[in-house]
Amino acid sequence: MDQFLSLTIIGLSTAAVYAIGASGLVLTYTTTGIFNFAHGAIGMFGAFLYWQIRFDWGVPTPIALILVLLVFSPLLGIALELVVMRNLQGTAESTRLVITISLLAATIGAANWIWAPGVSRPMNRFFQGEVFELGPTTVSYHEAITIGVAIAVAVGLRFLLFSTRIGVAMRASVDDRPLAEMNGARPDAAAMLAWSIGCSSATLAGILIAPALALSVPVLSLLIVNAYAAAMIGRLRSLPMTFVGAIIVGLVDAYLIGYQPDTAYLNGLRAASPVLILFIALMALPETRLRTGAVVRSREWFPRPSIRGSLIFSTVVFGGAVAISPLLNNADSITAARVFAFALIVLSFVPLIGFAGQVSLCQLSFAGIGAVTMAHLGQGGNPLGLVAAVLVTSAVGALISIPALRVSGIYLALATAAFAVMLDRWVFLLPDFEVFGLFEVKLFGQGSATVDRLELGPVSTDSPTAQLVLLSGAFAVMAFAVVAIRRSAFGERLLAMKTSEAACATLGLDLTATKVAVFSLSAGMAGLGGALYGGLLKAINPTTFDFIQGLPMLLLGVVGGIGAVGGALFGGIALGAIPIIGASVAALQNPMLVAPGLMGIGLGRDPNGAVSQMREGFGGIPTSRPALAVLVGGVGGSYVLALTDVINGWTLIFFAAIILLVAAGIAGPLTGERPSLNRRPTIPDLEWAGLSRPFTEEDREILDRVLAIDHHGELIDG
Amino acid sequence: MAEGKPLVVSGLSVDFGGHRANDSVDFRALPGLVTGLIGPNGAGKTTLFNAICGLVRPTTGTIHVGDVDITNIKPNQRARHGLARTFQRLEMFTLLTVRENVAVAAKLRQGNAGDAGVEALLERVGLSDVADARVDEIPTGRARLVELARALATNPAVLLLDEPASGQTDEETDVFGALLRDLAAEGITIVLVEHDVRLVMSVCDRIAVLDLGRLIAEGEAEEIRNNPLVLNAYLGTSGAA
Repeated sequence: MDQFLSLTIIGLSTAAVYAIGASGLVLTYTTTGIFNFAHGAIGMFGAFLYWQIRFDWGVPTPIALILVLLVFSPLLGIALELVVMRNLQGTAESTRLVITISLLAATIGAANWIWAPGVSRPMNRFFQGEVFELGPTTVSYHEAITIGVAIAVAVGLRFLLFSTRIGVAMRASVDDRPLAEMNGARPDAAAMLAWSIGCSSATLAGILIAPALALSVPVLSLLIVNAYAAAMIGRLRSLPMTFVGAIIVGLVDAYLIGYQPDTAYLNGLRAASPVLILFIALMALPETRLRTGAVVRSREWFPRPSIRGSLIFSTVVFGGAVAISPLLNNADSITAARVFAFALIVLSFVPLIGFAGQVSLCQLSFAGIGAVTMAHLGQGGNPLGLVAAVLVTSAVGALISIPALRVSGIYLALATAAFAVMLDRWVFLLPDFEVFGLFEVKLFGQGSATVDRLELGPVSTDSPTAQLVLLSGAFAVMAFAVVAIRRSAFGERLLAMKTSEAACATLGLDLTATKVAVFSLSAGMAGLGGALYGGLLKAINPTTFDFIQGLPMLLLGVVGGIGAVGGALFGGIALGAIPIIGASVAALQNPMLVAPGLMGIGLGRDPNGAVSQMREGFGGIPTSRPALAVLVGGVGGSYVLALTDVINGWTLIFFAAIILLVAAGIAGPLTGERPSLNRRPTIPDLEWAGLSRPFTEEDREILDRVLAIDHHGELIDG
Repeated sequence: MAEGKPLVVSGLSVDFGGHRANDSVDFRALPGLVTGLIGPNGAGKTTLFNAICGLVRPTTGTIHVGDVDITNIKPNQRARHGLARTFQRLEMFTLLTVRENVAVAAKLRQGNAGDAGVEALLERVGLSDVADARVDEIPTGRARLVELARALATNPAVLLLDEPASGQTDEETDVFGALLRDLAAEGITIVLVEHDVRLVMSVCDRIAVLDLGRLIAEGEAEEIRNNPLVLNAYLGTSGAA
């Protein structure tokens, strides 16, 4: 009984932290409609800053708390709202998702920049070591303070939202921002306050939980995944239910400490329990209803790729890699091959997110499953291992998608994130096990696994050069396959589904089957990429494929252009190049830590990505003879210089890039490809139509449509 | 086109929380006829369409297409029984061209054989000149024709049209009305929700009137025009007044 009581106190203390963190998350979501994936990372950053001020600089606790909680965090919230979040009003949910994931990546990068990883940073609890008796058990002052603070936060938020003018404005803003504004509310001020409180709550949670955990960037950043479960039990709306959810998560966690059976198979259960609860909470949500009237005019436009163009693209990619392979030493060949391995995994996002609009945050986890399958079933480089990797990941992808696809948007992203974190914390750490005595499942053997490189009959791919050729070839083939999918009836259905699921369903499309198919296809592609990446690395472990590692892949794929295969190659190149730049130029080592995140924040809003702009910039070259002559002559000449050892492989790549830019300058930009970006006026624009500008026919059409009225104004017998 | 089938709605009610959007609606549309469904804003016309095609779940009642009870099956399964529709607020596939919008629908019902009919359909509804245009770059009136062509590409037995003339010029509406008459003559069951009274009166064989979720009148155009309940619903005055 004493143990039960002690565990209950511990559980309630943990629950209090989750409740504080989750309430900030719910507050920003309900007020601004933005689910902040970076909430945990902001809490982590705040906790590090508190450690810096309180323990490293020795500032007294109250002053340190005031500086971090009441000065830094609110200012950070205001800055985020002004610089990043305010511009996201009216953007697609997937865009908002990518921007906050970018913020997460940038915050983690910034923390690693300021506070170098691997350094011990002890952080004391409040009133360290002091306890009081509560019946048969003892309670630490820190635990009591944590629970008390959570109660104060709950009461404070309730008062703010229901008893203050700004609180009412906050609640009104999310329902109908323009309407709230017309009624005198100030949505921008409400949003700013919500972000300030959100950041402070994240920081408060981080400071309260950090002493119990290591002051670690990834641990604290992912802590919020535990709070997601609490927020989801509150359906991202109800603060009281969020607190109930936090208590469930906290108590389950605590009771698992005391009562979990001692077996290697359940070692990760406690760490995974919040994401299991999150998954269950998501599955308990009612199935997403098909909505009409949600189609908005988008700037997104990926022209239908031609077979000829994609053949040229694949040939140039593969031919370029083959041509340069003799010029690179072993280490450089591995580096270049890694670019294509990353590009293959990023390519798996193209049909899933680019075509079908289904967000997945677990593609790298699928790659991990592919790699581990290859490790065990592709021993000796058996190509059947590669086939097995694709089939197994496709099957797992389909299996996961069936429950996950009941929900959409942010919920689907959270479900896939929960799956990825569950693999990280539990499944990938399991020892070998049998499934009903039918077959044995081998994972990472609680350490690392060895992946043999492919043996294709008499051809070995063991050398780094062969790996470069293999991976570039695999990317070229898969890129062509993705283009073929885009051009097929299936591809057209995916694009149709992305814009209007309701219209698709009423035309006869089986949405569930289509989504499962594309999820499975995409998982299989990621599995293929993972299996080949594993062969490149030779030794793999769970951290190679963890959730956090997968986020830059999504970001840079989106930055490149997630609807086109060129965007995947861009993503692969960026992922491969960023650490090289950091390692080569000391001054850029730390900036490179935040580069993916900043690129995502800066460029993630362009739905067409960088390749679309590059297509415009370089698209004129094939039709300009002088430009073609410069390109062929320049690259050919440089290649000869490289063959004769005058320049090395990397210099050749650098020269080729310069020559490409020069050729593009000679050819001039491609015209007529860029879609029209003129947007229809929004309702707030219309309020001023006739005053600030002439009233147009299009305005009337929009008003008719939005208000559902007849512009003829005729009535029966009228 | 497929042979038309009768659409029979019996005792259909739809509730949104405490609000009853459709209240025990009995409604019938027959092959070869254009049946108008009119009523003031908020009468429940679009909700009835959404219930018929499976986008909202009715509280009570049944829906039959021909002999088949489609009340409890998914929207895509209803489409296989010959149901197709257009939307009050355009539901275009904005990442595809006009031709691709129609081709997606054609292939869903007819596989690759559907491709052959796409050009003919575009020609029939007058969209051949913009076949390769982005669908959100064409005017609203013509975009509604894309939705019509898309629905027709599924070879429907029952066609539900939700304010298809909204955004069209008077000339376009006249052409559209003639097209509807042709489609009905081919045997399709057509249900038309429309605020353009001139169009409704000129093309509909029968008209049903909804008000506050209830069916308050049903009959031929002239009967409806003089029905006091209808006048009251629209003008807020009694017919006698």
